[in-house]
Order: sequence, then C-alpha cells, then structure tokens
Amino acid sequence: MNVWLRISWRSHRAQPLLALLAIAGIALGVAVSTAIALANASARQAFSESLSGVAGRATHQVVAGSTGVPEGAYAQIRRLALAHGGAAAPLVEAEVTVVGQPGSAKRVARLLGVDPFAEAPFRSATGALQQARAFPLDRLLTEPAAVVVSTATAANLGVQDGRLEIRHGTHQRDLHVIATVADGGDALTRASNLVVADLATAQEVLGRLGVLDRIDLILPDAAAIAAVSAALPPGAELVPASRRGDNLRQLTAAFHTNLTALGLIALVVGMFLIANTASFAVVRRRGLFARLRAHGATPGQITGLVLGEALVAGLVASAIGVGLGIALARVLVGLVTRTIGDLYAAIPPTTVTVEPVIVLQGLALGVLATVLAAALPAREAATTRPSLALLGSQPERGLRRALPWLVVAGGGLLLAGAACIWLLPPTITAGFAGLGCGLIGAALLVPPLLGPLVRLLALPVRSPVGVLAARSVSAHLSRTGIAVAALTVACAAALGMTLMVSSFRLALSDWLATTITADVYVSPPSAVAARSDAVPLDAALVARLLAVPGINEVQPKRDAVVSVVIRGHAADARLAAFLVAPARRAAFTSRPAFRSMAERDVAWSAFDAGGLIITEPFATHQEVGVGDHLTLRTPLGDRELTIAAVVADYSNDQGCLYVDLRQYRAWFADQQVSAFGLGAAPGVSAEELADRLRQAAGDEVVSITAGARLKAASLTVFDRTFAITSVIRWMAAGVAVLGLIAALAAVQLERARTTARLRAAGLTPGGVIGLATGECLFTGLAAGLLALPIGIGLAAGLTHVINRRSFGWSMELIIDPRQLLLTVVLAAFAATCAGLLPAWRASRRPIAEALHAD
Amino acid sequence: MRISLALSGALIVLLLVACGEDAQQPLNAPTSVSSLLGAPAVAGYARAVEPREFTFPTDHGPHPDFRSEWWYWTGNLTTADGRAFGYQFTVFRFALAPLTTGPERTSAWAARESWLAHLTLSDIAGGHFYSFERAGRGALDLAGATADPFRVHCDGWQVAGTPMRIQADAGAIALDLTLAAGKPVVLQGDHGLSRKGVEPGNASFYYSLTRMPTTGTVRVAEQTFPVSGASWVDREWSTSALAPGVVGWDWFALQLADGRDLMFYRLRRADGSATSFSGGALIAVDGTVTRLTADEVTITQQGSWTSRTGTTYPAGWHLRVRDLDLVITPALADQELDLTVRYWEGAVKITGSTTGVGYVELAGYP
Repeated sequence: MNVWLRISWRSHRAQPLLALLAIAGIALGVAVSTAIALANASARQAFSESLSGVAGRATHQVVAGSTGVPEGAYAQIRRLALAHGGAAAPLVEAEVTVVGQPGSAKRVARLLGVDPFAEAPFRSATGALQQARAFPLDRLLTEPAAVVVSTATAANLGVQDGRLEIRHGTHQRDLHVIATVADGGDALTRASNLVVADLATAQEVLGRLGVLDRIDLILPDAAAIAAVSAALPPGAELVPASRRGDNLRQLTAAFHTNLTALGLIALVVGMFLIANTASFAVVRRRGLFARLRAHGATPGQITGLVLGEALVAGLVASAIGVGLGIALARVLVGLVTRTIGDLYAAIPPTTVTVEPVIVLQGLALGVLATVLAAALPAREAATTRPSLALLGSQPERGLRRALPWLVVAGGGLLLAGAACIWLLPPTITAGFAGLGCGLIGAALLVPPLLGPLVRLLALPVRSPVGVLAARSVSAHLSRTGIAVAALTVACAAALGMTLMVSSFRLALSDWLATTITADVYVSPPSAVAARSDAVPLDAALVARLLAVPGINEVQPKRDAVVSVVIRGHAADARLAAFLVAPARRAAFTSRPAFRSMAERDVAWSAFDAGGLIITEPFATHQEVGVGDHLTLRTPLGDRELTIAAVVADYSNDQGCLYVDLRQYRAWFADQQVSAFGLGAAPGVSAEELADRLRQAAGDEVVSITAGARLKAASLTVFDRTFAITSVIRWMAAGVAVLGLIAALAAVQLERARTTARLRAAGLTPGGVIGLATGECLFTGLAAGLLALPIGIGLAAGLTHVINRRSFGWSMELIIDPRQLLLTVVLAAFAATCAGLLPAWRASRRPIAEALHAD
Repeated sequence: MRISLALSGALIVLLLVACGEDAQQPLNAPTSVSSLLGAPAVAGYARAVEPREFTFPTDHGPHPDFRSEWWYWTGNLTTADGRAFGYQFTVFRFALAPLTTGPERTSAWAARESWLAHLTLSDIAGGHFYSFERAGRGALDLAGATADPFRVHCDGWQVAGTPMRIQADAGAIALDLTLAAGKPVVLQGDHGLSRKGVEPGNASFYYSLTRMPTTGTVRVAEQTFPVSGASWVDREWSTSALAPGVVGWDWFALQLADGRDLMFYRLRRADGSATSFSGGALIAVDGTVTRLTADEVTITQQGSWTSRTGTTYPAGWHLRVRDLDLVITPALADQELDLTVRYWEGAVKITGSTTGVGYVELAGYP
C-alpha cells in the first residue's frame, strides 16, 4: 500500500467517529439540497406534462374567459384556418373530482371534450389508437357519457367495470369508459388523469351547452392570424397558445421559486457544514502533518494528501448524500404536489424523476465544497514551519488575523444584499439574491462577533469552570467558528421563516374575519381547494335553498374568468361579482388600503356606478392603481372601467377584480350564481341554518359551510401550504446540529491533553463535563442571540420583499417574543446536547493515556 | 360500385391517424378493402330490397335511414390550349348509429353521422397527382347534405346549387366548377336497384348523371386555369356489405368521342375472376340506356404498375363489348389515393374503335 494512503487511513482509523461525522455532515448537506431540487423539478415536470398533453401543437387559441366561445363561431373560424393551410379544433374541458370509495383520497381528473375529426393535427393520439383497429369511435360519438382513458389513468382513478363517477360543480355524473388505451408514449396518454370524451358528451356532462372553452388553432402566417382575428365573435380573443401554459406556469412560478430559495438556505447551511468538517479534518492532524514535514515530506506531498483525502471523502459522502436526497425527495414531492393541488390546479400524483443533471449538481457541490474547504487549511498545514505547527497556536492566530477581513467581507455582503433589494428592479430573483447576500454576509460576521459576545455573556459568571469555558470558546475559534456560523444561519433561517409564516397567518386570519360576514356559505365543491371555479350553481337548487326558512340576508356572488386589456396588453383575470349590503360595507372595506372614511365612501360610490375594485395582488402584478383604466372584454362588447379602490386579499395570489353583480349581469348577460352567503334570521344559529339547507339540498352535491368553519378550513389549507416550509426548516436545523456535534467533538479531542492536565491538577470528571458543557452552552447561546437580528432581518425580507414580489400581497411583520426566546433556547440546547457526548468521553479518558496521546 | 362500401363508421377512427402530421407514421397495415368486408350490424337501417320510385331533386339529397351513401363527381377537363386535368370530388356519409335508437342528446355537437370527403386533381401535363381528405360530423354545419336547395358539404368543401357548383381547395390546388345539365338521370341496375350479392337487401340504390358539361377554373399552386369538359356523377346509398368471396372491384366510367357513355363494374374474386353480379350500362347520345351483363363484357388487363405503397394495380385494359373495342390507358400511372382507405382512382384515355376519356376506380388490390 502507498505510504500516504496508509498514513491517511491510520490517522482516520484512530478517530473513526470523527471520520464518520465528517462523511455524515457532507452527505446531509448534499442530501437536503438534492432532495428539494428533485422534488421541485418532478412536481414541475408533472405539471408541465399535464399541460402539454392538453395543449398539443396549437399555435393560437380563441378564448373568451369562463363565458366561453359561442360554438356557432367554430365552423367559420375552422374554414378560415383551413383555407390558410392551418388547422382548428374545438375543446371543452374542466377539472372534475372523481368520486371514489368513501374515505379514499380525493382525485382530480381533467375531462377533455374533443372533436375526433379535428384532433389529428393537434394532440397525437396515434400511439394509442393504432393499437386498436376496432376503436369504438361510433360509440364514443353516439353513446351519452362515453369516455376513453389510458390504462394508467383507469388504474389511477379506480375505474371499475367501465364506470367512472365524477363531480363537476353540483352535478354528479356516471361516465362510461368504453375503452382504455395503452400508453402510446404520446402526450395525450402520458398526461395522467386525462379523461377524453367527444365534444358533445363533454358539453352535456359539464353543462356547457352552446359554448366551447376554446378553439385550438394552427395558424401558419400573419395572413391566417389576421383572417381569424377578423372573424372573432364579441368577447372572444385570439391569443398565442403559449399564453395559457404561461399563465399556469406563472401561477406556480412564485411557489417554485420560494421552494428553490428554501433549498438554497439548506444549501448554505450545508456548505458551512461541509467547510467545517473538511477544514477540521486538517486542523485536527496539524501535529501529524508537522511531524511528516519534519521527516522530510514536501509541502506538495502534504497538500496532495489532504486534497486527495478531501476528494475521496467528498465523493463517498456526496454519493451517499445523493442517495439520501432521492429518498427524501419522495417524501417532499407529496407535500409539494399537494400544495400545488390545494392552491393552483389539479396535478396528477407525481413520482420522483431522478434528473441526472440534479444528481450531478449534488455530487459536484459536495465534492467541490469539500475540496475547496480543505484547500486553505491544507496550504496552511503544508507551509507552516513544522516547529510552529507543533506548538498548536499558529492557526488560531491566523484566524484571528483574518477576523477584520471577515468583518469587511460580511459588511460588504450585507451592503450588496441591501443594494440588490433596493437598487435592482423589484424581481423575485433580485429579492432572493439580496436576502442570500445578507444571510451569508451576516454568517461571516458571526466568528468576529462570537468572542466578544461570549465574554459579554460570561461577565456575570463567577465560577472558575464557567470563566474557563467562556475563554476556551474564543480560544477554539478555528475549530468552532464555522460550525457556530452554520448553527446561527440555520437558527436565523428557521426564525425568519417562522416569523414570516406567523405574520402571514395572522394577516390571513384577520382578513378572513372581515371577509367572512355571512353565517352560511353555499358553493359548488371545487376541484382545487383554495380556488373558486366559475361553475354556476343549478338554478333550481338555488331556488330550493333560498326557500328555506330562517334566512334574512342573501349575498349572491358570481365567479368568472375574464379577459382584460391593460395598457394594450391582454391578460386573463379572475372576476368576482357580488352585492354588498350597505350595512356590510364598513366591515368589507376596513382595510389598510383605505386611508380615510372619505376615501372609502368615494370608492363605494364609484363601485356602485360600475367602477372596479381590484385586489392588492392584481394591482402589484399588473402595476395598476386607483384611477387607472382597463378594458373588460364581454360578449356584449368591450367595456372601459376605472379602478375605484385596491383592497387586501389573501385568497388568490394572481389577484381578482371585484364588480357589482348588477353591472356584471348587464355586461355578460349571465344571471347565474356561483355561490352565495346567507345571513341567519335572529334566533337561528349558523349551524342550524346550515343543517336546514343541507336537508333542502338533498342528494345534490353542494358545499354548505357555516362561516366559522369556512375560516377554519381556510386556515387549514394555509397550514398545509407551509407544511413543506417547516419540514425544510427542520432539515436545515438538523444539518446544523450535526455539524456542531462534529465540531465540538473535535474541540474536545483537541483538548485532550489540556483536559488531562486539568484533571491531573484536580478537576473532577464532573468538572470536565461542566467545562465542556459550559463551553457548548456559551457557544449555543451566542449563536442563538446572533440569530435573532439575522432572523428578524430575514423575516422582514421574506414578508416585505419576497411575499410582495411573489404573490403581490402586503402584511405587517409581527415579531413574537416567544419565537425569539425559543430560538435562543433551542440553539443553546442543541449546542449543549451536541457537546455532551464528546465531553463525556473526555471525562472518562484515563489521564495518563491522554497526557501521552499524540 | 364505389369505394365507400369498404368503409364502415367504426373505421373512421383511422382519420385520427391518417390526417395531419401523423400521416407519416406507419400504420400497422394498409387498410385493405377485403379486410373491411365483414358483416357489420345492419339492424335499425333501411335496406335496398326492391326497386323504388326516384324523385328529383329529393333523391339528390341524403337518405339518412340507410347506413352509407355517397356522392361522386369525376371528370376530364382541358384548358383552351389543350392542357388536360382530371378531378375527383367525393363525399361519403356513414351512419354512426341508426336514427331510431339511443337516447335524446342535448348538445348541438351530438351526431349520428360521420362524413368523409376525397378531393383529387390529376395534372396530366404537369405529371402530378394531388389527393386530400377531410372529415367531419353531421352537426353544426360542419358536414351534411340537403336536397332542396341542393348542397353536399364536408369540412369546408362543398357542391351546392342548381346547376351544381363544386368548390373545394386544399394545399396547392383548388376547384371551382359549374356542372350544366347534360344527359338525363340513368337508373343503374334494375330500375335503380343495383344488386351486389345473392342475399336479398345486399344491394344499393344507384343512379348516375353520365355527362354533365363542365366549366370553371382549376388552380394549381399560383396558377389558375380556365377549363371546360364533362363530369360524371354517381349516387349510391345502401346498407349492404360485399358478398362473401369478393375481394375488390374495377369500375369504369367512360365518355366516348361518339357521344356514348359506358359504365361497367367488375366484382373480383381472389383469383381475379368476376362474379355474376358484375354489370354495367351503355348510354346512347339521347340518353337511352342499354343494360350490360357480366358475360357480355370482356376485359383484359394490360400490364401492371406498383405504387410507392407497394400495391400492384393494372396499368391498362382492353375492353370489348358489342361494337366497341377499347384500349384504356391511365392518363398518369400514379393516381393512387393513400388516404384512410387506399385505392386507385384516376383519369384514363381511350383509344381503339373510338376515342374518349374516362375514370377508373380500382379497389382491393394487394
């Protein structure tokens, strides 16, 4: 065996625990960041695929919001497209809830109504259909409720005996699966949970008679585009096909960006950890290297030994980390897809796709960070004069000399972070870059601040062991500095996120309290939990429900998706039309958006006169405000509207337009109601009224919820959304604690001889443990305290910069003192726990052995 | 006897793969005529059992109680300076379900009929054959037919009015032709009842308009040619299948220079022999019809031609009947329609005892 290999192997075999900790530290850092990246990418891909399967090869689409395109317009548009060498295909589609066995998980499918005669140029169904010569197209066209699904979808949705029961709005329907087609490798069968029906069937099942949700087009040139544009019915719009996908992708973009940022925080913590373990592996063996130098080893050989070791350790640990990361990703992806499903759109159940790029990134990260972290101490070990190195004090002096530079670098990064946030254009990326710079800058300031802070903390301490413990913290900065910085960053990140989430939850809860003014809400069950669909309530059902005794107030509401034109740019927007009784207006607009009562009254009178109230996210994303105009496309022509007010809204991060229901009915010739709130008559409780309504509804599928329950349900969805945040938070903290254990264990080993001398001088084993514990306690306390300003700064950034830029809503940052206290206690506790094992080992070691060690 | 007998509603699904970009993907087997000659259910449809009274213009329109029906236009046209074109425009109607069965549907898209149309142009001087296919459902003005006013249309292509005007375009070509009244209606077979097999009801109603003076324009790429010539219209509706043992057919529609027209179809067995249900008609200048039986007509194949799809078709015929001794040659070798159903249908030139032009359809060749 090569002599260097043997030296390396021996030096590690002597301390197997430390070697294992180093490997574990690197592996964990790689695992967390890889897991988040994989989960994120898989969810994204599943979402994207479910979109492209439906979107097909269209270049353009004719859409008309939730009103739909009148079907009579299709023949003419198709003829124009064909005449220009293009193609056209009509579509009716909706997300539907699959009614499964009681107690089984809710599944959402997309029902796609197509005209098979027009489909071929758009959605390749070849693979699947080629297998089935006798594909029953005649049955698909002529049998009511006949559908076709892929074999995989049939299994996913639990199709049995060709039956598939679905719910859309208040309607429940039995679909008849007349054929299943095997996966043909094409988009249509790959997009899971896609249920394909003839257009006529889809119209009947979804209650969309007379309208199309869109017309897909392939328009080869400008002449074709102009011809179709000229033939559009009122209210309809010709848009590039990418817009729909873009809209849906934008919808989740902020979510994915936030998740990526969380992954980066874990990564920063992981990097610190890797750097710590790698550099410690060198520092620990300074004596060994000095002796090797004294025996004639060249600096190059020492550097080679250290870097070679780092490379091997980095590779092994990163490989383990990637494996762990893939396993973790399987847990995370469920949380990610559930959140998307709750908030944005139906997404099929997703399995983790192991993207080679992400795996390579993880490996590269682990290996590079390890080698880089080892490089500096390796150079130091290689170039230090052996005699000095044997003294063991050189690196400490070295680090102390570096402290001013750390202050400069940290301060500089903090300034750069501030510049990113305030000077760059207000994008999410710039926001995260700013926060990232700030976080790393703050972490660099941790080692310089650690010494003074611990001395400050030790001021009231009178016991000699305590004083000794405080002193030794700053004496071992080179071993512990990076680990403490990692712990500080992890604690700060956890605190920052906790403060942001709790502030957000409080804002949401306050907002729900002012918004939920009715006693009972009636709406069709929605396929996406946090979103109201434009599916109307059945008119007969509405009449039956409103006849229930005990109602003294009705607040009807109509949800729609509309096309608006803002500064010449067309966009889709959600619209809610409602009537707000004058008595309710005070509550409804008790929002920060209104600075004075007078302003509020002006807004309401403008609203009554056909003005628009927009929500804060809409105002942020579209960069509009009070007094601005926008054009609303309606089937009866375009309408110029003025924004009367901007109000807070946390229900939809894309924003929403509020208009008076009477105006909406006149503009859209639509008398339907999507939902309504009901006030209970005096003496009737909300629950009582809800029960009466449920009885009146009978077998109809309609959600009837008391106001208080609705609020609780909204908060549940909120909590579910942030479940993934808390998982990642704890993962980062776990990585930090592990790093700390490694670092503190190292310190205890380093000090074995000092400890032995103290023992020889009369310190009891308990005293040794006390000394070590005290040292760890001081370290933890310092890290916790330093985490407070960083965490609060991070929370402020997340609340006022990231949330605002991602979702468009603003809220007040509420600093809960209990969270601050908890952070310090947790940091101290984690550090103390981390120090206990090495301390216990040190106390048990025979004095003589320790004195003769090394 | 036309190609659409071979198509049944269930096979329209092939449109999904045959149209559009996916046409280049290989189908697992060509849709051969003989493979489609099973006995699809006929319950619920009317059948052609005995001769009926024809009334016009009503019978130019659709007969939705029969399972399938077609309108066939073919013709030879020339420009003033003699450049020759052949064209075919065909609309097929297939019932997806009998009219009388099934529940009421509320969607305007609900359809009980599917429609298919073929458009071809033989640019004889240019040596190029163009063929296109369109399909649609019988709903929402996407495809359909009416007798009065007369209109047959499918996915933007149509023949409408009196006189009939054909308007269809696709890719590089476009037809805009007006067909004047020519010879009177010819009721084929037994007063319009054309038997295809021994089983009663295995027959169609079949009439022709054998020579309709035609004028209009043909567009090829950027060039529009004023043309004139004569068209042939075939109309047939039925609920029948081919008799067992029949693998395909050859169909001739010939317009002779002496003013006579000849229609003859030969139902082929696998060994190439014709069944006794083959037959035809000779139409005099004044429209007088003489029925021709299978054994009166002798047809000898002259050579063969193999298409890009690997199908081998006859490349000419020697046809003898009564005083006629005709040599029939394709105006272009390649007039194969490689569409939902693959067949050869193209313009032909006639020499021999008299000259002339015509159209030949060849189905069921391996």
